[in-house]
Amino acid sequence: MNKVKNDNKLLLCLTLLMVMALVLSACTTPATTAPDTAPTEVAVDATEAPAVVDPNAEPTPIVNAFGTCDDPLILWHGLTGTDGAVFAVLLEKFVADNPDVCLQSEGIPWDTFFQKYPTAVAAGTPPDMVIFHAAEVNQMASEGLMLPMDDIIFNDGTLNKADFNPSVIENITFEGQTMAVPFDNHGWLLWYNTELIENAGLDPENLPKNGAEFIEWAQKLTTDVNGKHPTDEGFDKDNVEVWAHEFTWPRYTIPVTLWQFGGDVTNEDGTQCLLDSPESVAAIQYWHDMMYKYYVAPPAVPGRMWAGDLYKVNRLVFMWEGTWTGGFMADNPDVAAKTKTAFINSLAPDGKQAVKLDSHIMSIPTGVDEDGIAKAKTLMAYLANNGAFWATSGQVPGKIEVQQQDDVQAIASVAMAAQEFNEIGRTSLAHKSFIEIQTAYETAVGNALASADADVEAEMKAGCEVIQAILDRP
Amino acid sequence: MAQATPALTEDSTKDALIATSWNWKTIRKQLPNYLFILPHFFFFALFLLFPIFRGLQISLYDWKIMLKEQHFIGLGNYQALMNDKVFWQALGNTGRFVAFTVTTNIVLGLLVAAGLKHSFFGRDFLRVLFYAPGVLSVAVIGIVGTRIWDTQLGIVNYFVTTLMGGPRISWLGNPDIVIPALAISTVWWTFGFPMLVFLAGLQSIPEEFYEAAKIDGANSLQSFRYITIPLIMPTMLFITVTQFIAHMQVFAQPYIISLGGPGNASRTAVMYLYETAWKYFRFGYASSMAVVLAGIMIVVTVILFWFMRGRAEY
Repeated sequence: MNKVKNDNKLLLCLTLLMVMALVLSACTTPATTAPDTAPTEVAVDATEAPAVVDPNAEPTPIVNAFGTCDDPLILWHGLTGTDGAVFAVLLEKFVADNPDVCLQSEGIPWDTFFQKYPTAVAAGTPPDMVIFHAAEVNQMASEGLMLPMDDIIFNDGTLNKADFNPSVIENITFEGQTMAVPFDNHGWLLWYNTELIENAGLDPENLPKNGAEFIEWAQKLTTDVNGKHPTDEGFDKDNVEVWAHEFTWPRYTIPVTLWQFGGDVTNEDGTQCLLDSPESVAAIQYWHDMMYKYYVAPPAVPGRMWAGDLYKVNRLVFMWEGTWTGGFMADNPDVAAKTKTAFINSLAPDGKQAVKLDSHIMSIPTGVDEDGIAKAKTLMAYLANNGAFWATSGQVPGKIEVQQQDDVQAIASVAMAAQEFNEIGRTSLAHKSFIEIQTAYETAVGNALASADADVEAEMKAGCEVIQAILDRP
Repeated sequence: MAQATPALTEDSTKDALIATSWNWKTIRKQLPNYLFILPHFFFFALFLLFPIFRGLQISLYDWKIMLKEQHFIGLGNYQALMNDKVFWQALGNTGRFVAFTVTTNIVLGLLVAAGLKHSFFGRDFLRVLFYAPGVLSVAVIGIVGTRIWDTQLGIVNYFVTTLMGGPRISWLGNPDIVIPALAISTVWWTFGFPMLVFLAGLQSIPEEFYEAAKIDGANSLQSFRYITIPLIMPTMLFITVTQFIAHMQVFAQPYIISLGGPGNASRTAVMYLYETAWKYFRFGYASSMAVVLAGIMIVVTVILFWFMRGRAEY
């Protein structure tokens, strides 16, 4: 009997220990950062003005009420990172400046957002305003989920389309109608570690201009755990200490490289797949060579650590990452101190430059009543005109005029990105099935870069068959 | 004959009256039972039967969420599905995942349960330990899996390269091993349940059978083969069917750990279905996938019942 009692006590203690261990294990920080989320903190370079928002602020609540009234404006968006904290402050300013309007802001992770949004519209209970990406506008508009904005906000002069990046405006135009208002521009920027470049005997003020020059640099910058370079005898490719480059997020890296090489996913009118064109194949082959021939970039395989984690510990020199990385730099001032930003470097033989940009856009869902439209219009105009504050999150304000303001230009990475987007920026294809096309080309390139043995040309052809089938669909 | 007819008619009428009265009595007697199950049936019909029939209906349309009148295309979605290479690849990936996971869960679950049936110091602790991962959410499993299988910084490659001097293996980047890697994570997470059910099944086998076999000279292996296995077959059937159905619907592990890649190498049928519906808004096509997937699961389950029931002994 005593033995049974002791056994039970032991079991109880062990069970309690186990439960505590499980609870603690659930509190650990995640291994990777989702690439499509915005920055973890407010964006500033080391040399920039301090962040307006406290970097140690509490995480943004999912649902945030601003002001008090019976009938608030309901806003849904996916700004759930720490850019959400900047956004929340911006909304606070809005209700302070517009005491007759109150609002309820709901931050929803993007995957869930695109489940809630269409179902809410179909059910006749849409929010008054939504924020998502320009690249998704054609699909949402073709499904009848958005109201055209021309008659609501552009034709009466409240906002002027000419004040925004023309590429973005083209991207959010569906059947001749402008379906949204750009809130910001965001996209790829080159972040590079000046200290590692100097240590390799190279000049961080004079970056490589084309693909051939870049390979030379990359071979000098990449080192294994024994300090050997890929060109040295006995280089240990399985134990690389410092990588020159990283593939980062395919969503941006693929189109950027294709465009630099003169290739693309489809032709301009979206009727023919070009992923298997010689230019496109050459672009992807260049990345394959960097990974498996020159060993200057880690293989782009699923589940690998985020490039920022490598960069943070001085193991990555050139990082193609988003404008939102400004938040990461604000979190890591020691890293920011040795980081500079530049236009995305060209990997093409002729040094052609190109960069992909996207935009957080503001729109009104189908089914919103007149009162909701009026409130949403007020908020949209406010956010578009007060984008300077939003720039502290690292994103480039949508209005070009706002981009030129002193407080925006003072943020080095934002100023650089604004210039880059306006000079060489392009948006993705505006197509009703763009998301499906995007998955198809990311899959094809994923196959092509999965191993040293992969046949890039064959994978591009296979991907092109899938894309062409999507394009041919009525 | 002529005399018998009126008698028969009389009897028939009497029987009919008795039957009617009995039926009415039976119904009155059974009515409370039906009333008790009515609330459950109502919600069952609303949340299960209706969506099933609605899904079947949607699969016959080019369904647009905002259209008032949908465009009927008959079996068009099913025809397209037959030629969809990605779907068949996803189905193949799912099949490989299920084969690996279900087999390992059953073998490992049974062996561990057989071991944990016996009394020894620390037995209860081990029972808790083996079941413990099952209480974690799939998101935690995904994050842990990402750390374990990472090529550069993962703990598995640490053992392989640093401690054993082997090559750095791209667990999630190699199309041939990404499914086994995901399956191993899943087995670690889920094998506690089959183990527990097997343990219950093993404990229900009377000890006298083993004692009799021992007297007849049977060794442990023979007892396991000729007593345990036949008597555990009902439990085995339950485990096989439930595990098969559960793992056919695998979604979150590849979605979090490998993102379905490299390429489509770990994209599973339900993951592709989800993307088709909620990323591409092709609800009709996604519904046809769901119907085909349900059909496959029903057929395989029936085969499993047919195959394993004949071997169940009591």
